[in-house]
Amino acid sequence: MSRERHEASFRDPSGFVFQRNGAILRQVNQQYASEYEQLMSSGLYEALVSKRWLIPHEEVTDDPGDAEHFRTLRPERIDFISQPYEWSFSQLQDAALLTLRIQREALAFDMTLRDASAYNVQFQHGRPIFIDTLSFGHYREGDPWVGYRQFCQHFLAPLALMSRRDIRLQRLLVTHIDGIPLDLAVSLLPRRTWLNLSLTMHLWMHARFQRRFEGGGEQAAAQTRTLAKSAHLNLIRALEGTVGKLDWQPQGTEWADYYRGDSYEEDALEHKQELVEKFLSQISPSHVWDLGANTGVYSRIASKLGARVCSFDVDPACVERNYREVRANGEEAILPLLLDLVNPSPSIGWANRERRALVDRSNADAILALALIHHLAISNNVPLSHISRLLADLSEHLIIEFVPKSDAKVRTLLATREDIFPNYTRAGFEAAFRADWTIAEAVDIQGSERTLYRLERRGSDTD
Amino acid sequence: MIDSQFSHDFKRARRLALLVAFLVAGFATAASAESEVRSVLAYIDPGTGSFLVQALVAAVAGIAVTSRMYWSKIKGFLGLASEGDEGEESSRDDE
Repeated sequence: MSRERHEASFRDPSGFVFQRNGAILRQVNQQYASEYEQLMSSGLYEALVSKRWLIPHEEVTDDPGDAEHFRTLRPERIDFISQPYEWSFSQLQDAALLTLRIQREALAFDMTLRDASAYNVQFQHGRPIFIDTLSFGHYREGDPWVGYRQFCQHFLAPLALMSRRDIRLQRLLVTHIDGIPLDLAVSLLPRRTWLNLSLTMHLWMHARFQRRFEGGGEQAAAQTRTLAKSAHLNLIRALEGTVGKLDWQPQGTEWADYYRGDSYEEDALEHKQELVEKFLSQISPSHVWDLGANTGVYSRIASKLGARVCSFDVDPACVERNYREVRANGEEAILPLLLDLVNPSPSIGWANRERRALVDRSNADAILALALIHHLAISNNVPLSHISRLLADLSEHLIIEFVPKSDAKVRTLLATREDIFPNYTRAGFEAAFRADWTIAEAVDIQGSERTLYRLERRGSDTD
Repeated sequence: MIDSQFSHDFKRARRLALLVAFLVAGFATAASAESEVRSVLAYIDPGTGSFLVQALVAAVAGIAVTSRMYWSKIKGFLGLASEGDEGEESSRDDE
């Protein structure tokens, strides 16, 4: 039986994640046996799972394991693995708060989180959930929080930078897989953050202390120090307060007010929505990727038809608004994520395989690409054939809107530059896309000059 | 508007002043923490500096909690307690 170890599962010797016949399983090693038994028997597991804070699992009995084997777990399957640099501000903030609440709950059962990686959190059914069942260690009176430094690097530093300097600094998480180094974070934070006592201590002083003790000269002395449990809880509550008070309001970016503008006449919008709904019902996909989703109007048409939707947009304000709507309405089927389609998330980490590229993570049966193609083809000079190829790599069904040069939006894009796109016509679009797709349906959207296509990938079994 | 801005700035200034006092107290707490040899089961490096900051934050937070409690008692005694003074720090705690 083949057990294929997950590429990101190697740092913690307590166990590892692997794949067997398509199922995602987790081996618990013997060296983690006593922690695992405390987690399961102390009541902590039930407390966390009943609140949907921790991913539930069942124990598998038919896995022989390797020499280190103690137990094999089958956790509830996560629908789509997203990366922290693809989350909106509030998603990262909610993931941070979840981590702190779990640490507080764990302490009540005499356990503690041994790490505080943002990659331990995923979004499932619209809410953050902790997925690393082996993160829990024994807590003994006096233990400091081992995960504190990692928490500051993975959560607090990026949130502070996004809130107090620039929302786009989140991208530093792509280049720094273990979170943003604190000395880098404070060098980018505005000086006025000194006025915030919490940020001063957790980030400015923390960075200073790290530099002071990086030689490890006083390491031995420091490791004998202890932190009483009440003090430990004070630390966690202080962090909760600090994280909870950071704020970012989605405004002033390019797309967040798109639907309030004049891009579409009322009746054209209505017809487009009807067509999207009709095409989606014909495909009846289980997973949809909505590319250029804005705040998720069409994603919600797909989710009402029963699909799970990754709702991607390049604008942090749109993703933020979309997530706030998901959170406020308890929508379980929509996952808003940040994506720059002309530069999607790369593979990062060890051997370039630890955190996978976006294009390697597609679970989509169908893609929505509405009011998108002119931004790729004209604003970013991507040839139509390239767009066709990428989308065909991602999914076998495609609902795509062609926006001609005569459209007001495209005229705006071309107003300030030379028109070097002689093939950007309906005929040119169809010719380019026929290389990878067959045209199942094409309908002109009433009251506009745009056309909506339903395409099927060549060579796909589409029944 | 100006009043609330002023009271906001005042609060910040007060916090900054308290910081200095807390730092002294915090260092004293961290330095006097009881010594005992332990090996924390850690597969990541917790960092020496990070541990010292934890002790400091915890001490400051402890003092803040205590002083807030006494402050509200004093204000209550003088009949000055107003809504919104309580729970500012933990407004998101009980979500």
